[in-house]
Amino acid sequence: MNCLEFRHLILSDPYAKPSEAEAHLETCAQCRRFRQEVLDLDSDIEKALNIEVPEGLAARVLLNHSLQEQKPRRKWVQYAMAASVLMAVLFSVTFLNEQSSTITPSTKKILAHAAHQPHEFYGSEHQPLANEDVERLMASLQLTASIDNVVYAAICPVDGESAAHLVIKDGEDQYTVLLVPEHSPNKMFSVDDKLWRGFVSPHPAGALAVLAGANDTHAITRIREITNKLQSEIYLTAEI
Amino acid sequence: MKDSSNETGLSNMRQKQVQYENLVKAYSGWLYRYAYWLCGEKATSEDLVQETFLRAWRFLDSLKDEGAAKSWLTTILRRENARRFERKQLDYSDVEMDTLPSERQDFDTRPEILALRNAMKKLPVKYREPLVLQVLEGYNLEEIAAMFDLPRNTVATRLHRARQKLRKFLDGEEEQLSVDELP
Repeated sequence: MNCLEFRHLILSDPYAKPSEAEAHLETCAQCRRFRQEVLDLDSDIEKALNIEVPEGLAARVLLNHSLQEQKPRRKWVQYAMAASVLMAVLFSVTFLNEQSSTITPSTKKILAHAAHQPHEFYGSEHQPLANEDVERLMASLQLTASIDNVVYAAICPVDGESAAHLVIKDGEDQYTVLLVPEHSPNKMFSVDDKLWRGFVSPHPAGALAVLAGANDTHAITRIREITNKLQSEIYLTAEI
Repeated sequence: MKDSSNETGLSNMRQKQVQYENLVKAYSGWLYRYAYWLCGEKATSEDLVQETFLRAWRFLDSLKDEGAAKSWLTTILRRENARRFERKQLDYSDVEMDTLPSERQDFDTRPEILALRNAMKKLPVKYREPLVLQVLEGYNLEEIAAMFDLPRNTVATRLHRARQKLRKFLDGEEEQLSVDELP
């Protein structure tokens, strides 16, 4: 094995130790140095690759799994629908209060995440989840809440944060609820566009979005009532 | 007789559940890191991990060899990521998520490691991906070749070029990639 062959081998697999390579190392100081340089580089590469894993990832995977098992199997995300929905969400959100320029990029992401919700939840029958499962899910976000008639619940990454994503049944209607920690809109504002009607409001735990499909006949006053109800039903665990 | 078969069914289900939980606990960290170096977005990485394990549960019965679990899960995640690319034109998250600012929590923040991390991000994914598998998890050339369904020599060449490029990046000789190298 000559120097060129040896270096090609080491750059593709620094840990390989075929006898020809070992024999070459015995006789070539430059290649010994080269090999050590590559091993040092790999050591640094390993450190660079070793990014932090989000706390509670395994628990969230297991929690989502247990919740998925309790309801009819669904498609994880309706990505194909998301594109058209995105445009609707990003460009047609209308603010009913005076300071319409206060929407933040993170709030847009909350609304955009809601657009990923499988639409089969609307207009079809779903059985409510067990209350203790919903409580367990909320507890994983350091939240205490007793919410009835939740037909879908998951922990979802929204704008880099683990958010509670719920669908609540209310009579014939269903509402999407997102509670995103570390987000704090400075005031409550309304959303009224082609996709959603509802409110995003500040909550001690983060941003609370309560949304209903725009095509349904939801009275905005009912959505406001649900928002107010959830504001008082969801607590930061530390506050209790 | 019926009770006995019900008990057997429940026992199998419990066994499957335990096996699944063990897989999640053992490999979710690795899969998250692998996903991150595939897609470069933390939120999408967690989505990919979630989707990988959802699919793994559905097909867990097909995993006959526990020793192959990591490769099996890694392959599922690769496919999930490929599906993400297939729908990329329809996926708004590429508009918003790429700008996620949260790089602050990465473990090693020494300047030379940050420089290397940035250099890794500039590598085309076809070079970066085998390097992640080899350096971070110790896969050998044959295992990577099997996972990618590529000839061993092709994988060896990609790894060779990956390290060459990283050395050049770090020496300041290669500022950016040419268009034809983009993944």
